[in-house]
Order: sequence, then C-alpha cells, then structure tokens
Amino acid sequence: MDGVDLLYPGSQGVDQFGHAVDVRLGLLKEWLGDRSLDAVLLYNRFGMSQDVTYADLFWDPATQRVLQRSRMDRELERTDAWGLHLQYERPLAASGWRIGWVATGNLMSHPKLPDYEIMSIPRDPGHSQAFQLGIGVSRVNGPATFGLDAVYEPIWSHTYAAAAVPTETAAGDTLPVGGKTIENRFRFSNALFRMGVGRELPIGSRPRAATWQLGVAVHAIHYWLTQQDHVQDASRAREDWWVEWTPTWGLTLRFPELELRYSGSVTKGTGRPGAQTNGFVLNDPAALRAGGLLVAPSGPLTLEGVSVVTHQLSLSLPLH
Amino acid sequence: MFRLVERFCFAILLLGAACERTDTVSAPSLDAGLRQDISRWGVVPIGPMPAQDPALVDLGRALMFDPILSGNRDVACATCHHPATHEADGLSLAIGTGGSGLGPGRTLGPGRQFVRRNAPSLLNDGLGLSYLFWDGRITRFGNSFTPAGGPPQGLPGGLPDVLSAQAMLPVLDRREMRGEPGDHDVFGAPNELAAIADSDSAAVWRAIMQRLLAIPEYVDKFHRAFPDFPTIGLPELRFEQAAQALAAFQISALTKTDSPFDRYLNRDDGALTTAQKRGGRLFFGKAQCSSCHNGPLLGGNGFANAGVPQLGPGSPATPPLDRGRADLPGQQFYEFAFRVAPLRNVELTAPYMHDGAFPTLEAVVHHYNDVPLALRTYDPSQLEPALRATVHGDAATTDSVIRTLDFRLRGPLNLSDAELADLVAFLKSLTDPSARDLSALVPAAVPSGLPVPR
Repeated sequence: MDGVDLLYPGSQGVDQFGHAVDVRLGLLKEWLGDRSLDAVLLYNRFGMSQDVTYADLFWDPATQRVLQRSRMDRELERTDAWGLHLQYERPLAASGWRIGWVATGNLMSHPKLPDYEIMSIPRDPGHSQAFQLGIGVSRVNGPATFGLDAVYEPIWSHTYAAAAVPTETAAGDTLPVGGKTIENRFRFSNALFRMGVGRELPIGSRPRAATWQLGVAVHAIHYWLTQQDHVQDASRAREDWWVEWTPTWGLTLRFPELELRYSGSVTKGTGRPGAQTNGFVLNDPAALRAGGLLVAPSGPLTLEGVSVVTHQLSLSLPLH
Repeated sequence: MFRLVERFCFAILLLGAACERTDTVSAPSLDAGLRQDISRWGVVPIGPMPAQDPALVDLGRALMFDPILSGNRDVACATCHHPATHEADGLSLAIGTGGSGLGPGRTLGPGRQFVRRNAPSLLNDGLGLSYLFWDGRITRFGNSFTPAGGPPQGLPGGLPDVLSAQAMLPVLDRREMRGEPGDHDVFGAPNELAAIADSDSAAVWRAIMQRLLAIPEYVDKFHRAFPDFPTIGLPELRFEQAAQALAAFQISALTKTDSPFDRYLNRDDGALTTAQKRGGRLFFGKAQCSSCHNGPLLGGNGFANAGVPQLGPGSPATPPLDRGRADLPGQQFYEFAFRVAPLRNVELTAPYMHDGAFPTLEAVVHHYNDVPLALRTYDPSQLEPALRATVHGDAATTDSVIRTLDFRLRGPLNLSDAELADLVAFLKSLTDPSARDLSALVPAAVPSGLPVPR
C-alpha cells in the first residue's frame, strides 16, 4: 500500500507482505418503465504484516555517548468484511421526477489493527456493523436539473483491550490472559444530506452553451461511547457530535472546439478527530499494563476548525 | 415551482457558508505530551552496562566493605555507602572515622565533626556521569578526570574512568576515612595513614596498598583481578588498581535502571500511573525540573545554586559556609552551586541535597515551589537533632545564597498541592524495584577479618 510508511512517523522503513482478497458479486435487473435494481455482494479479506524499522537513541554506558540502535516492530493487520449494497430507482409518473433508494450493510471484524503511531487509529480488536439507508429524488426539466438525497448511517462498534498478563481487578478477581480489561462500545448515528441544481444557458447556436451548478452537502456525525473498565470496575459514557458543511459550485463552457469545466467546493467543520492533538488518554494504568492498548477517548473531542477549499479546472479537447 | 426549489437551494447554500465550526484545540494526550517533553530534554533509554571481570568485581566488593582502607580501621566505604541505606547512609551529613553505628542511627565519635556534605548514593554512578562529588571535582570532560585548576590532591594519570578516579579520594579525607594525626586504630596501634602529610597523597595510597598486600587473601584477589602484573607486590601494583576494582564493583552491582520510568522510555505506555505521567509533564514542563535534571541520566551534568539552606561545619576555606563548587580553583562563578544530582532511585536516597537539608521528596518539591521563601522560612526541626544548631539561617547567609540563586529558581512556581503530589509520584517512578533491597551485597566477611559494617 502506498503511503503506509506515513502511518509510522519516525520509522526508517516498512516492509509489507501479506494478501488481499476482494470478491464482488453484482446483479442488475431492469424492468420496463426505466426501473432498475442493482445489488452487490462483497467479501473483503485483508491480511498484511508490516515490519517497521526504527532507529532509537539510547545512552551507552560503555562509550558514555548517545548512540542509535535498530528496532523492528511487526504489525499485523487482519480485517474481514462482508457487505451488501442494494440500489433501486424508477421514474415518478411522467413529470420528469425520478426517485431511488439505497440500502447498504457492512459487517467487519478487525481482530488486530496495526499499532500505528498516529493516535487516532484505535488498536483495539473488535468488530463493527455499519449500515446506510438513503432515498433521493431528481428531476430534469428542459435545461435545468435538480437532485436531492438524504442518507442515514447507523453504526455500531465494539472494541476491547485484552490482558497480556493475569491482571488483578479492583474487585479482587483476576482476569486471565486474553480477558477483556476495557470494552468500548460506540454507536454512531450519522446523517448526510445533499442537494444540487444546475442549468444550461445557450450561447449562440448549439452546441455552444454554459452550464452552472450549485450544491451543498451536510454531513452530521453523532456518536455515543460507553466504556466499561473491568479492572477498575468502573464505567463511563460520553457523547459528541459535529456537522460538516460542503457548498459546491461549478461552471461549464461548451464550444464545438473544446469544453472548459470549473468546479469548486469548501468543506467547513471538517476536523481531525483523534489526531495528535486529540484528547486520547491512557486512562487506566492497570489495564494498560495488562494490555498495552490504546483505549477510547476520554478528553474533550478535538476537531480543528479547518476549511478545505478545492478548485478543479479541466479542459477537454475533442479529437476528430 | 422549479424556481422556488432553486431559491431554496440558494438559501441552504448561504446558510452552509455562514456556518463555521469553532472547535477548540485541546492539549495533546498525556502520553503524547509526555513523550514529546522527554525527547525535548534529551532523555533516552539506558543501554546495557558493559560486563565486568568477575575477579575485578570480587576484589572491589571486598574492598568496598573492608574497614582496612581507613586509617583507624573503623570505617569502610560501605559505612557511608551501605546497601541497607541504598548506597548512602541516611544521614544529612556523613559521619566518618570515629563514629559508631550505621545508617541514620550513626553518631559522632568524641571530638569528631560531621563531614561537611551529604554522602551521595553510589547507585548508578557507573552510568557515565559527567561529574562526581557534590562540587564536581572529578569530571570526565577533557583529558583528565579533573576540573580546571589541576589535579586534586595529586590524582595520578592513567585512571581508566571517572569512577576509578573518584575512588582514589575518600581515603585521603581525614574526616571520612584517614583520621587525624595522633589517632590510633581499633587495635590501639598508631594510625600510620593519618601521620602522612596532607600534601603527600601518593604516600597515603602506597601505605594502604602495603596494608592490603600484607594479607594473603588480598594478594590472591589482586593476582586474579590483575593477572598481567607479573608478580604481586611489585611497585607497579598501586592503589589505582584498587580504585579500578571498586569501580568495577559499583558498575556491576549498583547499576539499577529498570524503573517504571525506564520501562516507559522503552515504549511501555502502561509502566507509569496516570499521576506519575501528570507529574512527568510537570517535571519536564511547568515545574522546570528538567531545565537542570535532563539528559539520559536526569542530571549529573551541571551545577546550580538551588538555594539550599546552609548547615554543618562548612568548607575549610570559608567555615562555617560551604560555597560548593566555588571553592575549586577557577570556579568562583559557581557560588553556592552544587552538582545537579541524577535522579534515578531518588526515592530511596533521602535525605536530599548537598547537606541533606530535606528529609523527604515532599520537602524538596515544596522547597522548589518557592525557593527564596522556602530558604528564608526553613525549619531546622526536620533535621536530626545533632545538626539543628548548625543551620546558618541568619539574614546575611540567606541573602548571600539568594544573591547567586540560579535564575530559574528566583520566582515561585505556584504549583498546587495536587501538582506537588504528582511530581513526587513521578520521582517515585524512577525507582528500580531491585534497588529496594540490596542486602545480598553485604559479604559475610572481608579478607582483613575486620568487622563488616552491617
């Protein structure tokens, strides 16, 4: 995978080896009246080992100097995912409107994720279920087009830290090796709303024309976390949410000799949850001694208020 | 209808553009922040110690516990650097020859005085400290193990390391080991070491070697430790070899670097408790401890006037005050400055500072929280009774110390009680569990047959 070395800041090199399996089975059924149903069944298996080499500094008492020594960490990435995607669309009478819906379900087990240096990536093993339900309408009315859709994304995730050594709990019990020291249960309730309009304006004779587009996407992320600490016999809960707005715009100029397209967008509210400035803490030393794993965030959510602006310009020259 | 939809879309677009998150950026996580701090101050893991020749270590162990090295044959190195008190003596100021007892219960002999400074623990002295002794009179910088001003007390050249050089000196000190002119040893015989002039260090070392090589067991131990010497007893075998053996014993037996903090340095995030991590962030941050206690050894590489109360007999040059490093030739700049102590295992080596003015780590961090105030309000009752009257807390002395106080300590730190407790928790994370009980180091007997301090 390109760029995987960026996940291990300070590393001297990453050797990867493993396998990836991606199987997809697709089905398309079309009916009279311009109705259609798409179905895709997906199985994805990813097994990768990454040998990450670091050069660590240490104090050498023999030479009484700070020297370097090499260290290699083997990171194992094992992920299994099943997915099913259904998509249906049909016209609404003869008014020019169309309607469609999508339904997606993904089941993923990730018994081990790499021990990334970037702290936003949880290392806990566990499994997740993610779903998507959406509906949308569109209309073409002469030179104008309009589209709108809304998607709801419920997601559940269960991760845990496992004891590396027998671990005594606050209640006086002993967790065996492999026993769960901390369990994190996330529940996401995300929503996505997108809407766009466009209109073509003739410039002289056809095919000369100008087309403008405007749109907006609103992505609301909302999650709840309940965490159970089996070592300290404690639990806690937290809730966070944020909204990302992405206005988009575009203009197309079409001439017989060329086509010039410009599109732009700005995403506001996009953050970097869990990046280096995030309030992830190792909240329980006993559990961490046992498992050495990063647990869920407990500090205030940190999302840097950044604006991502994108401009895209393209020129098409038809070849005759 | 379609125009109505278009206008609605425009309104949504404008609303979206007007909305902008104002998230606040919080501090980095405890571990991320602490690891950043640690790297910023050059604190890196300690590598393995070089293996020592077992024969050399065996000789060094015997010498460490044998009172024969002292003029009156009554104190060994281990008397003030004893395993029971974690290679120190548990006293504010050391009590050398003539004293009785061991550890915190040790008392002065008749007509004797306290050694002017605290006996520092020997734990981890073999790691490669830049300076040894409270005034840093022995250093590994330069071509010799001496500071500016020339070799102290005629230290011979050719010593292999700073630790061996250090071992040459306590036997010369009259209060510590050599004794006063006219002293008699524990058997009533004249103390021949004490009769030698102070200026003739080489004669003292020769006399000690004569004592050692008169004992067949030592001859055997020296022979096995230094097989290259063709015939034991030749003039080539000098006290430098004894010092080298003492150093080898310290390197081999007294290096204790498997503390929770060391494990944390070796990437075990779970090695420290949350309180210790908070204390670590204070240590490397707000409390400014790391501005002096930095580097791989968390100190040992510089000097500072930390505003420590003056007490005890003081230095011979300026009694009853102890001006610290400033007493060394060419070092007048370091008025009342003493070596910044390396901090591993500091929990075990109370009392603290160059004169043992503070009996606990809590007292130390309280002192650093507002040094000028703490110095002016120092409570002598925290000292052992015999020393309380020797505190020089008069305004003139206090003003002298504050005048040259390290610039980093001139203002209060304003640490809360909770923060001070976290700092202490962090300091306790520097303790190697194997350093808590060193009793196995004490030998059953020593070649001279003299009583082993225990």
